[in-house]
Amino acid sequence: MDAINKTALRAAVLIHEQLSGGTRHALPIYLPDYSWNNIQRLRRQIDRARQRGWHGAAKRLTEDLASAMDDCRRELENAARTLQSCRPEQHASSASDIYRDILALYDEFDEVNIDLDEHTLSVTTDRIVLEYVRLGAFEIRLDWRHLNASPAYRVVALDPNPAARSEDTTHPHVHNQQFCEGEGRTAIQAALAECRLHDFYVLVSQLLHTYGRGSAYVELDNWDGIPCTECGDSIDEDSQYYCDRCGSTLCGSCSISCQGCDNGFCSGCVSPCCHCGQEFCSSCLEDCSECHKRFCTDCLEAGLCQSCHEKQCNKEKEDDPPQNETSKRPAGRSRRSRQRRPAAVPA
Amino acid sequence: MKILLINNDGAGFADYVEVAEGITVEKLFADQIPHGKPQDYLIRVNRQPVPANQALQEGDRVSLTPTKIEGAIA
Repeated sequence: MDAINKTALRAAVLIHEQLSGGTRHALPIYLPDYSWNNIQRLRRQIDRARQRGWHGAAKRLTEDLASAMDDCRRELENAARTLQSCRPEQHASSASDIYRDILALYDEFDEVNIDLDEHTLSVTTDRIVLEYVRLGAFEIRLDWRHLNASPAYRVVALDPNPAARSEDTTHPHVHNQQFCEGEGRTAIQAALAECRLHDFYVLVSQLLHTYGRGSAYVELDNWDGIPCTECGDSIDEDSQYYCDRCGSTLCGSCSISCQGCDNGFCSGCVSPCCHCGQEFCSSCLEDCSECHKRFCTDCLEAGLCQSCHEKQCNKEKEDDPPQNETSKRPAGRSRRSRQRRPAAVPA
Repeated sequence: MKILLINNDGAGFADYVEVAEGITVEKLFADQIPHGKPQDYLIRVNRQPVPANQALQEGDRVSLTPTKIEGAIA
């Protein structure tokens, strides 16, 4: 226990020294220099335009001046807000405050780890389960040298169960160990600014235990992969196919290639050619103009399927006129004409 | 009497506020977050969980942290 107290005390002193260092009070203040110079330039141009009687130009420049003043005012308001948000002098944590915060972390979390060499203070959450998806425990690791940096901390999955489509997403709101704070951003920043470490870790932990549906890197519904629309198997990001017609998600086994255009489709968006039986999309099938069944272009001739084409040919043969048949007989008298020749009359 | 109040449901800054002597945690919560339910918050006094009827003392540090805070996509 004493060892732990000494480490916590040493860490508290180091953190307080970090807070008291020069960088802690070097607030970046951005004044609207560019906007102000722009305002002055526009004002000079307006004066010149009025002197020369260019009233149209003066009117247009006046509108630009109004817009530039709006920009300048917004930038000044932002600078003022930045100054007001940094009030360390009023509620700056003392070394004893920080020490008490660290001790309180041992009651709040399963595990607390102080690494004086790496300048990190870490806590371990319990195992997190969100909507029946087990995400495991997380370590919230703060590097106290970067209290003013963004990000100042990382969220490390200790028993990762990452999203199927992205192994860097270990939590709906954690990607590459970076936590998107969402609703908690302002409060977390305030806690870090005032070095209220207990508040900081509690806030991050509560965020980890909350799921913001609709604003996640990967929604929990798709955590284990997106199901194939046909067979229901989970598909990871690299193995997804899409039906080119209806957009449904497919696995490699269920995606069907159209034999005409080679695009991939689901089973509902392809049909077999009524002659060859191969699968085609609707764009690569045409109706036979006679029977109105669907065929691929290879199985149609002059808009007719083979069967209808043969029927048409046969019909054309039947419709041929008779002379066409006589001319086909071999040359010479017919047997009948020979038979009809009268017998020779004796003298 | 004066206490340090940290309302993490919002801007999250620490402010000294003047409260009535002997005010309970429950009453303070109702005054500060009138539309909230105590069960939806982690309430800590001097970094420790306390019963709702605990009376506050001068200089106490009270933090109110919602249990449901949603993250987002960066």
